[in-house]
Amino acid sequence: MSLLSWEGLLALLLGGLYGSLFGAIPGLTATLAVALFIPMAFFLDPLIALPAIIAIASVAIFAGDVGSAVARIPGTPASAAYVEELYAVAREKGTLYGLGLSAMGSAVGGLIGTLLLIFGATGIAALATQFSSFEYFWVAVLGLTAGVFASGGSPLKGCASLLLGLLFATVGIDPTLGFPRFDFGNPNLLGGLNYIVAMIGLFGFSEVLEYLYGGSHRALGRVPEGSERSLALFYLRPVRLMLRSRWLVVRSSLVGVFVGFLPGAGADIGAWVASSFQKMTRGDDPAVEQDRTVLAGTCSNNAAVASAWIPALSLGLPGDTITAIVLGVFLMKGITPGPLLFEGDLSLVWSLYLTFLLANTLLLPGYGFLTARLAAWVVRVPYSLLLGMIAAVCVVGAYAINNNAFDVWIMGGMGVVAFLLRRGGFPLAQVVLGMVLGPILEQHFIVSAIKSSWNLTSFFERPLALGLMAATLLTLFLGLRFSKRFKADAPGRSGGNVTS
Amino acid sequence: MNEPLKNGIAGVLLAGFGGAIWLYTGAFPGLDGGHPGPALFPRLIAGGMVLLACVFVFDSLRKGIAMGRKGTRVVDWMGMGRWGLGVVLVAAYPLLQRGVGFMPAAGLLCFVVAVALGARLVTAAVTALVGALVLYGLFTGVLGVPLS
Repeated sequence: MSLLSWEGLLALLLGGLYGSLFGAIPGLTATLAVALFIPMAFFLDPLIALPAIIAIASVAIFAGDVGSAVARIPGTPASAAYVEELYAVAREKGTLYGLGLSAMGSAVGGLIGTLLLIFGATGIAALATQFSSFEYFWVAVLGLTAGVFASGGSPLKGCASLLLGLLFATVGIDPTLGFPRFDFGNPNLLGGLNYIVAMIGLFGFSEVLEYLYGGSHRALGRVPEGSERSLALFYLRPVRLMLRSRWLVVRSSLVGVFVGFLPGAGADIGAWVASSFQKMTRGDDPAVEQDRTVLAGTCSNNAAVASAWIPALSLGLPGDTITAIVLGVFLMKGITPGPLLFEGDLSLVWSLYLTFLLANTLLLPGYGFLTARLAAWVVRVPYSLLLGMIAAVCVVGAYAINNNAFDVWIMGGMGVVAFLLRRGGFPLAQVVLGMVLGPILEQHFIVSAIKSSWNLTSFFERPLALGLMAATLLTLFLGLRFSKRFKADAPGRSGGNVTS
Repeated sequence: MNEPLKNGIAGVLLAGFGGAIWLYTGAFPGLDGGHPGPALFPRLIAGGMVLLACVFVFDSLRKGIAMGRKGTRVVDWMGMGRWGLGVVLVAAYPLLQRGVGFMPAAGLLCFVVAVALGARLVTAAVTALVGALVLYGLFTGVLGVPLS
């Protein structure tokens, strides 16, 4: 059986459809989609099961942007890096164009990631083995530093949101002694706060609360769909912009690849760093700056989807949660990942490469167009009905993650926090970033400190760590230099659409 | 509400929050050899919050004196009522779901939010019914995600 058999192609098509449904619904992630697919994968040939997983992951990561474009609810932490920009582009220039930008950016980013996977897997994986806890600590610091300036508003307010996110990340068992922190005797808090639940509250439920507070005065404006045909809006205009911004596309994809292949870092940091750099180096055409930020983020996060497979295939180390599940599938099927994989069963390796190519050239543009058409229809629904549905989806999505009613309360609490943050002009996405990077930062700091007997100068001794520290300082310098310019260019963007 | 006043309130809240975290983490154990343990990161965060709070409060006082009372606005009590209704509904949702089941609870939430935002009763009821059915079918039937 091969990928090019009718069963293989059917698995690709159904995997893509399944991934697009999961990605577009708040609370349902690409990881959950893949995890729920495992019982089926057990009974399938690896040449069918693994491509189906790739199709699910690639399309689900893109579909995470559908919620951002329609209701400002990012489907993944990586999408949170550019949620404000994508929402604004979709409202101003049409949902089809906004999602076209996302799908085309994802496709090209994914292709660049795949090409590097094909031609550089073993070389890049060798670099990954040089990373110790010191380097991971600096990668997290770099991501956080880039995140402070990613809001485009006041860096101080970005910093306050980030601290709040980092604080939320400390809830639960700590990584040093296994001591429960901020659990207040509630066993539901011992496992920490789930950032997907938090994201639904921060972006989805807070939006409902904003509209409830503002009433009919906050009615959504009509979304323009332009005079162009939908195919032109979805495919041609984004591709034209990508050709004009080709260096941005290549740069952001490379950021995605080089951050994405680090086990544990993944697409999230890549998307944040790429979109922050785009905001810092913005050009002279304000009409397309938001579009370019979306492009930077989407190219980066889908490039990271492919590059997360580099350590998985070459070293048997998971690059993210999806590849961790995939490694389980490998073992379930009696396949040992690592260097021997490239010397033994080459048909499987090439089948995986081919799937990535097909997923990025056919599935993403195809399913992307279908989901964008559906999303364009959804935004025409009267806002009162749409927000009623969003409220129900938020509650059901939060509940569905762990089948735990407590998560619904966490989601509601996060919605209230986000409402207050918005009133004060504080950005929301940085809270999510803090929650995602907080555990990585703390764990690697503590491991490094204990390894070096609390000699903190060891954080500045290794060449790779020093390089990452230099990148952090450069980000800080550029961010501070350009922050005044952001403030002048985009008043009020930092906190979303606050009316008072 | 004007910007300096907002920043001032945010500063006071941040300082209070940071101070509370600092005090709360005082009871956390340390590592052997007197090295910081589980309290380290929360305390670093608390310190950062207090520092930022000082900047916000200082900035607020400086700009607030220059602006006077300009920009102060009255609270929209109707809006606050609708907002409170939304929060209460979500807080009550788990209990409601346990009592009446998934579909009626999700449908009721959808219906009340839609009506509060100005939808007509019949339209809101139809949307809530169809929405709850679609969500249930999608999650449990198509995606295999249990909701009970």
